[in-house]
Amino acid sequence: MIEVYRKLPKESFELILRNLAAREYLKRIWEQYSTIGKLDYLEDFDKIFEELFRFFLRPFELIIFNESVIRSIFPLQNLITTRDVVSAYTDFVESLTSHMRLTLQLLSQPVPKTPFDRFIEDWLDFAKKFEFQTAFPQDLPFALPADAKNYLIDCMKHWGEFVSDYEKYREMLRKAFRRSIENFCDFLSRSNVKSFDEFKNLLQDFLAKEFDVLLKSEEYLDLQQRLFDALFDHIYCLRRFFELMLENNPASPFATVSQLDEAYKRIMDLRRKIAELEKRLEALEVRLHDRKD
Amino acid sequence: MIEKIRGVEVKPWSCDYEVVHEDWLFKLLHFKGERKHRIPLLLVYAFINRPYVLDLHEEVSVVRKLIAEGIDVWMIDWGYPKRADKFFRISDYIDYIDFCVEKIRKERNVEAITLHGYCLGSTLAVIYTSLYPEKVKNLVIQTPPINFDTENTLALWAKHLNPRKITRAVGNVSGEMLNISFLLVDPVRLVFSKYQGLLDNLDDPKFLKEFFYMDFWIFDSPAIPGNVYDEFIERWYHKNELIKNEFDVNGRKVDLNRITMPVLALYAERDHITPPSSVIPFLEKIPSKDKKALSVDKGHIGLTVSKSSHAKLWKEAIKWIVERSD
Repeated sequence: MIEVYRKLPKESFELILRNLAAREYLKRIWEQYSTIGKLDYLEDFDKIFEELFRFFLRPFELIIFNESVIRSIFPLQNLITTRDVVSAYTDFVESLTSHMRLTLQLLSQPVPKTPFDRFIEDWLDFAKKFEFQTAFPQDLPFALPADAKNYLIDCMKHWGEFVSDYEKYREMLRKAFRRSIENFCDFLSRSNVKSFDEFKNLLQDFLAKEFDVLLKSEEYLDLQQRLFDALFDHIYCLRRFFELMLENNPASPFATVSQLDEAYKRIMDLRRKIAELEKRLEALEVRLHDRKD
Repeated sequence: MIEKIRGVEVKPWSCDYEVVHEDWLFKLLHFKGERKHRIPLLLVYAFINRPYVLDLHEEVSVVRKLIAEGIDVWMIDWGYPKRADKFFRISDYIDYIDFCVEKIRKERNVEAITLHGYCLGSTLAVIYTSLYPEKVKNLVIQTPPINFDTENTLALWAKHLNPRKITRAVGNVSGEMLNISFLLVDPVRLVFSKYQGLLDNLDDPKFLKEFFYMDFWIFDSPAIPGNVYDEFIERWYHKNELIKNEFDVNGRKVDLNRITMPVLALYAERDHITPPSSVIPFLEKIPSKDKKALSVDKGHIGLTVSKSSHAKLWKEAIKWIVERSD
């Protein structure tokens, strides 16, 4: 399986696995229909929906995880609580270590220190000079660089819009799927489908018909546009926020994407100018050559 | 099932070629073969997906068929753009076509060549031909989007996109994003029916071979440089500048009235990406006296890789090219 995963395009591999699962559900549904001659909306249809649309919905859901990134920008009560827990645990481990060290000293002969041990001791003493008792500043909003605050606020706003529209989007797809299945079941109750292949092809036709209409509808187009706008605005604002934080920190050793883009743009402009000069030079050479002749 | 799939080997590019020129991202390829006709042919593929679909495997290779007829075949490979390529413009693509055409003209000592565009490569070929009609002896356009005001799902979606919001957030539009979009345009057929078809045909090695050759190609998607994406969505899909003679390259107007040379248009009746309405208004508009349209009852990719299309449409298309290559 891993070898095939490595070999195939990742999209093909995922779609094959999802279709294998979908076929299993479909066969179970077919068995029920072929036994009793009619069909209602079964739970297995929901599973087929998940297999079909998971591929498309996952990228959006990954973005929803950005919430945790945003949350980390606001290190308020929950983070301080976490710090307290970590601190308490550190105290516990230190006291345990101290207790064990004393016990061992009582029970064992002194061990001569190696140059390595002495260096580590010196290094730890040196490192202690950098230890300060600090709490995370609660007035962080006032420490943000000039535009960063606006990007942060906009990023939150767009994220909220995105999550709300994503729910509507998912619901729109699900409703269309359910509608087509209900039409399919209704058709089956009036027909006599003899084979699994015919059953499967009919289902595909009913689904395709419904989605062909949905994906071109004004309602869908508007929602998709809003969803994309909110998604990409959110990504942009979040990135700009982080970039401004980095750019504002004189100790940061990193060039940001925007700074690199500016360099790439200048290189491209120069490249075009060089190409233009080369063309003119070539034309001049031809004219000079013609004059000599 | 895993055993059957594990055995599939996909090796596209069935014909020998050499890279004649390389310029950052772009490459000019030349295919080896015996030349029987004077006029060379330059294939200009789209800047999405990869050009080897025209030489996918021996049985459905358009390149192989052209070479077999003695045509001197050249091809542009637009490469895999990276973040550093975000600021490429459509005009850079046109400039590189001109560079290649000049190189071929000098190399073969000809005044003009046959320019063969495919999909968005056809759009580039049409723009180039309007700007430099003296360098194009024949124009072949395959599944060409030229009129972008069509009612297919993809065009409707493009018209409802804000490309600048996308590119300022992600730079280039990645191949993965494009793959998801192209599948979601027709999810039931492309995600469900197609793979259910695969499960029905696992015992047919020929089917498996063709299926995976196609799937490898479909998902081998380069990114589109951010600026090019902005231009292509806004100026072509939103404003439909090309068919209205409103498009310009570096300030030079693209005027379709300058297309007077022989033109062959190949289109697919069931194309959900560039439907027939993408090309028919163009054919009606250009003043060329020698223009022909060939169609096939297939989809966008089926026109290029289906055996029935090779048996009929390509036979006629290559005959048309050969007749105008001396």
